[in-house]
Amino acid sequence: MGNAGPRSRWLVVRQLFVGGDDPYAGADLTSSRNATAVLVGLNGLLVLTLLPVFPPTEGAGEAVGWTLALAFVALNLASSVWLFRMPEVRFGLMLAVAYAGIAELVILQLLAQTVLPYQALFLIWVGAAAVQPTRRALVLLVTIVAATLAPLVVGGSDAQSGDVVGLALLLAAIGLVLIAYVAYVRAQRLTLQGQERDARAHAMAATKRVRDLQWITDAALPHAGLQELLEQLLNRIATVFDADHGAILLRAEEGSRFELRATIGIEQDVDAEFHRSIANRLAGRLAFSRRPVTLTREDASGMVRTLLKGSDLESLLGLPLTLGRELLGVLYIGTRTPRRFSEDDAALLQLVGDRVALAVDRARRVEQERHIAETLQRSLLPDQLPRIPGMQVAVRYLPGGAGMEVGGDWFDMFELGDGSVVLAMGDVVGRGVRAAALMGKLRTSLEAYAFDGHSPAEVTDRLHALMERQHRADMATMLYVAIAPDRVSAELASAGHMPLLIRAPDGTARLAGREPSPPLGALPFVRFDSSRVEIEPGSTLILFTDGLVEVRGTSIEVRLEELRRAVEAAPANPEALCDALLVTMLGQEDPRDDVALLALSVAPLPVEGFSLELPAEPEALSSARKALDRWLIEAGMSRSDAHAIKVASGEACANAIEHAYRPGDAAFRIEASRRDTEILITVRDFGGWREPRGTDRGRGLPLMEALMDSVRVDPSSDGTTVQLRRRVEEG
Amino acid sequence: MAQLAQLHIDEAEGVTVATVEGEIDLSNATELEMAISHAVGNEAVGLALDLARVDYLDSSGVTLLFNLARRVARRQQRFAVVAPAEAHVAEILSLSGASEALALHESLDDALRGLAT
Repeated sequence: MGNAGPRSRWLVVRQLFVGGDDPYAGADLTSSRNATAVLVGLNGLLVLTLLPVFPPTEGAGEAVGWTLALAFVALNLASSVWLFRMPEVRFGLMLAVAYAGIAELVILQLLAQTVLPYQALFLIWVGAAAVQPTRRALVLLVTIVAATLAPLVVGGSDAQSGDVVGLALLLAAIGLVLIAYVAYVRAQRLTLQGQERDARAHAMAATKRVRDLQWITDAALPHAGLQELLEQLLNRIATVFDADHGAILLRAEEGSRFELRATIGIEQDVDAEFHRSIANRLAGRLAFSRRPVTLTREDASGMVRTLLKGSDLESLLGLPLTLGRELLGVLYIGTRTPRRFSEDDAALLQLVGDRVALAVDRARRVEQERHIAETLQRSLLPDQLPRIPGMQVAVRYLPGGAGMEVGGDWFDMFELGDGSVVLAMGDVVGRGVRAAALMGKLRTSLEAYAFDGHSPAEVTDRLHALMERQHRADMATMLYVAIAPDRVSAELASAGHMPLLIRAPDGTARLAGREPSPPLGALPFVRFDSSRVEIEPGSTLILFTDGLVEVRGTSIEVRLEELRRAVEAAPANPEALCDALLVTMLGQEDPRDDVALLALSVAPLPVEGFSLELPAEPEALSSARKALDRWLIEAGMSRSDAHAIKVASGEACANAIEHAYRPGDAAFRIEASRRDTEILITVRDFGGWREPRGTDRGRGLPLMEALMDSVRVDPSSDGTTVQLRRRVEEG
Repeated sequence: MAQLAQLHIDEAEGVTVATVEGEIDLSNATELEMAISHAVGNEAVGLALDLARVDYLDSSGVTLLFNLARRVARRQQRFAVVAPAEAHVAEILSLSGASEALALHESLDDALRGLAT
């Protein structure tokens, strides 16, 4: 029932007459009952007034006639009262009463042998007919008209045919008018009822829509990961829309492919391509309309129909996920049974889609920031640790936490000009891009201060001052270890960091640097001290951040002791040691906080000699020289011998670096050995020997020959070996 | 990273004095050469290169010297090198024939005097 124009009411009227499933449509039981009751009573009264004038004595005798007549009257009156008092009366009963009334009048006509007077009372029953359900009313009316005309047919009465016909026509006319009027009133009522129903249904639908929307997007609220979010959303959407298929596809950016991210009722592997094509097709449509699109197998055209054919989907409702002008992805649901998705469905899905798009966008941005922070962090950490002869180092770095942000753990290792080796590790308080940037700054500043020649305490003081000046709101811990050039001792400075662990060559481990000190930037007026530790040759130094030991609910002392014991139980080799510690201290779980772990084993160079592999870059020359220097000093060489050997070796190394022009020539090797009074230096590269170019390197060979007793060059296709020999004096 | 060598530029009596402290090897020789060459102004009488505090010098450094000598000469300027006999570099310079080809002096004053004449 649409809007309530008079036109539609007439349609309803027509329906009442002609068809309709409900014979009682629009009829009001109570008022019909009341009307019928009144009419029955009226009938009785009027009969009573007619009886004296037209006594019912002619047909069947006085006694019978009067008995019947009075009985009828009584019945009428009694029925009237009874009808009024009955709470529920069925139409059927009223109809029966009407037929009975008509029969009564016919009988009275026969008893009184007169037609018209009693026939006139048929008018009352016409009234009773009008309040019946419409079609029955018509039937009743026809019966009345027939009963009116009957005497004419049957004959044998004193009525004038003209009067009878006239009465019949009158009754028919009045009857039709009444019935039509009542039908019209009923139609009005029906229309109103219909409108009311519609309004209520709308209101309920709206409420349901809001509730559904809330339920669906409730999934969107606080979320850990985009993937989980998408799966939950799709599940809820499928439930609300009663769909058995669904998929969400997203794409990274404008123009890139749609990736299937979440599915329901679909074999992910098998149909991924299929769904991607649907998505692409839909995306085309949706890019235009930016509104939900419904498709059913019948009205799908061309490609989509072909695609649908390949599946058992009968109907599909698709939605673009847009944010502003950007199409982030496509969401669609489908059913295996043919079904039309309604306007309401589409409207609800549109709202859902907006929420989904927002959530996707947010998740993407968070993902991006995390990626930036991680990249920043990784780029600020050393990607290669220096190769220093006699030192083996292993490092582990595990960014932790399930959250979005990365932390501020950092480490560094480098060799100073005087041969001391610096290890540093720290932890910036906080997470995210900001922490990563501060971490980089600290690391860079630390190196600068160290190369300027400051002691550990001085470096720490300066870093603290830097924090105070430029990062008042931040804090960072730090451990700075400077291993002396002779490798038997180290100087430490610590700012609120975990202590240094030292594993002696016999396997016992101890903690060093336990004095409490505040982190950098924590308290304003703080000076930092350094302390000294002895290192037995063959020891391993272990630096770590609190992510390795901190466990909620367990005291740090307990955990440090656990770590100390784990170090004693672990193998000596730094790589194996790190792996063992991670397993013991962290177990199988991902760390909650960042973990940085560095293990460095320190061995003095054996006096007999050493071997060192270095990257084939000019910058490596300095490392080679330092190593040689140390060894030459330890071996007690005289200054002039040492100098000559250094320069000659430097030449040979420079040549090796120059030969490295093929990929794979990434390293060269220098070996030093001593037998009695002869020193042998061997430099091996893996490139091809080139004739000295021009005058530049041409100077090298004669210089080597001048400085050393003998120079032997062995070129081959996969590398060149240069051997330098010199007899030295005991110095 | 720290520099292998530090370069100080000064001026004395119309001469550009370039003092190098540290080590010169393949990794920084070219840069140093460029830096020193640029530091010599057009009006300078010449260049005095002070290697007294150079701890390491090999053929890359020798090449640097010869290249500087050539550049300076092209500009009609004079060139002197300070390399005291006991300095590390002296031995290398002599072994590579630099001492004959270039004007080596014991001290900066000597070098400046040499350039003035």
